[in-house]
Formats: sequence, C-alpha cells, structure tokens
Amino acid sequence: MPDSEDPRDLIRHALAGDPVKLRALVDRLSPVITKRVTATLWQRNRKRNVPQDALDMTQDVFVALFQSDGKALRAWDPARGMSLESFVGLLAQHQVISLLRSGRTSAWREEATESEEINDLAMATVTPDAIVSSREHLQNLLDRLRENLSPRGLELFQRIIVDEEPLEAISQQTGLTRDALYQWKSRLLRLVRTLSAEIDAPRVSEPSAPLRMVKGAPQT
Amino acid sequence: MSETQGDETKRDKGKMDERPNQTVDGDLGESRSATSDGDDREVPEMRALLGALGKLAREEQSAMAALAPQAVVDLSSSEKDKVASRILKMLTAESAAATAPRLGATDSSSRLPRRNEVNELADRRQQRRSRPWALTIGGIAAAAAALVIGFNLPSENDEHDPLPVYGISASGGLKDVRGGGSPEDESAIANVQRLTPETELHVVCRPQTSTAGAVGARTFFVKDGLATEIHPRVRTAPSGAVEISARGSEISGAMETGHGSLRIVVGRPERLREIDPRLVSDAATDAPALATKAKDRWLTVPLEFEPR
Repeated sequence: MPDSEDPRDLIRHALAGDPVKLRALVDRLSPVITKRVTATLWQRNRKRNVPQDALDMTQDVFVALFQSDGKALRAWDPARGMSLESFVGLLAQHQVISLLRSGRTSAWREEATESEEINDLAMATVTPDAIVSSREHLQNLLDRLRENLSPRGLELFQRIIVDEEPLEAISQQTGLTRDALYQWKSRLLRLVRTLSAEIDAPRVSEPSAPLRMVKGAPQT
Repeated sequence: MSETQGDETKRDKGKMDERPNQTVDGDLGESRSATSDGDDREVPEMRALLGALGKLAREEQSAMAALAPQAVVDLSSSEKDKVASRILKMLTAESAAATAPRLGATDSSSRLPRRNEVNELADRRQQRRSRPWALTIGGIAAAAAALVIGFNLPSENDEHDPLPVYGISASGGLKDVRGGGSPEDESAIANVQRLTPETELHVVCRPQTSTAGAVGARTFFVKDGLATEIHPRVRTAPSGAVEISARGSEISGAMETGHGSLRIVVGRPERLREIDPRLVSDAATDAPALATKAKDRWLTVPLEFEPR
C-alpha cells in the first residue's frame, strides 16, 4: 500500500470496516507503533522480555486506537501539521504507559479529572523545585501526565512543551486562538500540580484520607 | 518556553477577534482573556517545571532515535492479520451495539457485551495461557455441535419473529494464521482465513439462542466493493445454526491472490429473496443498515488468498 494514499481516506475506510483498507492501515502504522512500544519498554524496565512484551502490547495498542469508533484516530487532523505516524506514536506511548502501570489500556479521555482536595494539598506541600530535582518524580509525573491527556492534548503537549514550537505557528496551523492555547497551558499546569501531589501523596498525607475525584474540568 | 506572556496576547487581540473563537477541543463556549485563567503562567517555578518535563521528553525521543534497528521487531504478516481481525470484530460489535436500540432489541439474548474490548481480549488471552486445555475442549465441543446439526427446515415460518444475535466461526484456513478458526469466538466477524484454491473452508453461524421458524442463508464473495453471490454447500439446523462449506476456488473464482471477504446473511427465507446483491459491500458496518430493513444477521469471514 503506497504511503501516498490519503491517510484520512485510509482511516475512514478502515473504520467503516473495509478489511483491505484496515490491513493497509495496520501495515502503515505497525513500524511506528512497534518502535514506540519497544523504546518505551526499554526505557522503563530492562528486565522485561522486551521483544515478546512489545509484540503483545503493540497488538493491544492497535486495538485501542480503534476503540469507540476510532475516536483517537479521528482526532488526527493533517491540517494541524503533525504527521499521522507522529500522532499515532504519541497515542501508542500513552497506551504503553497505561499498560505498564495498570496492565490495561486506558479509555481515551475527553476531559481531565481533578482532585480538588489533592490540588489544595499540592499547593501547600509540593514545590516545583522539589519536583525538578527528582528525576524519578519527574519521570513518573511525565508518564502520569501523558496518561491523563486526550489525543489532542497529547498533540499540543508535544508541540508546545516538547518541541517548543512558537504559539503563533501553532495558532495558525490549528486555528486555535492564542488565548485558547494559553488557557490550555494553564489547565495543563493545574493537572501537573494535581498529578504531582498524587505521586507525593503517600509521603505527605494521611494514608486513610479518601481522595474525592471531581469530574467536569475543562478538557486538556 | 519560546512564547512570551500576556502582552503578546493583548497585542494580538485585534487579530484574534477577527477569527472564530475556536478553543482547544471546542469545549469552551466563551473566549476568556488569558489573564483571567489564573496566575499559573506568571509563576516562573511552574514554567521551569514544564520546561523540565519537556526536556525529559526530548531525552526520551533522542534515546528512541538511537535505538538499534535490530532491537525493534515488527509484527509478522500473520500477526498483522490477527490484529486486523480483532479490530474488525470490535468495530462490528460497537456498530451493532450502537444500532441495537433502533432495531428494538430488548430481550437480554440480543444484548451485546459492553465491556472494554481490548481488556476483554487481554483477559481471554490470559485465560488461554493459564488453561491450555480450554482450546482443546472448545474444539471438541465445536466438532460435536457440527455433528448434531440437522438438515430439516421447520415447517412453520413466522417472519415477525426476530432472529437472535448470531456469531460466526471459520476453520480450514492455512494453519500459520495464529488464532485462525478458534471456535469459541462468537462475534459477527470470524478470524482471517488464508486460502489456496484447494483449501476447504468451513463456516458455522450459530444463534445465541435457538430460533423458531425457518432460517436460510445467502453467501456473497466481496472484492473491492463488488459482491458476487456464490452457492456453497449450506446446511441448516433446527436451532437456526447454519453450516457453510466451500473450496477456495469456489469462493474466489478466477482470483488467485489478494484479499476479499465472505459475507453471509442469515434470515427468514422470504426476506432473503428480497436482498439486492448490489447493496452488499465489504464494509462490515453496512450490516446494521441492511438488518434494520430486513432483520437479518450479517456475518463476515475476512479472506486472504494465496497461490497453490
């Protein structure tokens, strides 16, 4: 299957149940997913049987991509400037992290969850300096953050925070206002604080304290 | 971070106002000023934290780029087949679940499982690892079921009696397709079957519960969106189960290699006669649309043909 075929058509036909297009899409995405899964496994735990685990997880990641009528794949828009392979790589990493943490793929998020109580705790006890100084904490935080972002949130995180693309360029390509991008960053920071507090919670809070999860925060 | 803060936002305000108020994920119905969203971006420490996260992510990317090619093992062709088959099953199940209310399916036998498909499959895989005998027993049960299939059509036919949900299993394909022909899978799409012209394909369509009244089946081979009706050997049991057998050459005709699919519709004989082959496609999701009209059950076997 030539890569020149419009990937949006490929996705559309595959999600409509066309077995030939679906197989072509699997062919196209398999290398990037396999590589992302393998690299993530090597980085997280070298004691695992990485090749075998990578094959199993790659299949699980594939199926997760098509869950809910392919919601995650449909979130990809080439007009925003990211290739399908790069986008799927982000999604694959998200799911591998979930598999490593919980043994299961995670449902694709539409909205962030926030723990207001923990958020308050984070404000009082966790300082950004302390987080930055701990690589283990930072790695854990990065994984948790990826796990909590929606497909589009993952794309924005990659472009704004990792690739450090100018907001103006992102704004032009995505059609999002700069205002919207700033708001997204603010929500991201709140999510970072919340997750950081969750990671730190066993050390700074009473073990028996219940965590009240509050839904309804704006989508990240 | 390369961007500066609120001053730029104010400077670009006029330009922004000329555009629709598009927001991230479209979930904010109003355009708020950047400064009204809290003081996070005014806190240097938090910016430093995001910067550290970005730096760590870039280090991960560099490590991934440096990964030796031989460390990455891509999926084999048969593993890709298996992945495609799992995805097709999931899409069909989701589609059927989404249309079930419109079809008026209210009895419990027609409800589809709503559990997370991936995790269900993971659980099933784990169970198979820990219970290797299960496959053997499943195979024996399937063989026994095939033996007890009868060949007399019931004399009564109530076309108003809806059919239960059907599952399909296929066997006979080349054995190097991992998972091919697992008889315990009862979804609307069978595992991919790899066939040569001489390969004998066996397909069993089973209702979740016994159905009263006459049941028949029509079979189509679909390639590149074109459906051709074929006439394999079909046997129907009083329970409503249907067994279909055909050689690879009988299915594909002159085609020797490539992909296609076998589409089987199970339904009341009167309704089956009304089906227009031109409406049949290789898209598994056309089934609900057809079923809505005719209350038939559409089942699929993805096929891959190989030369002798």
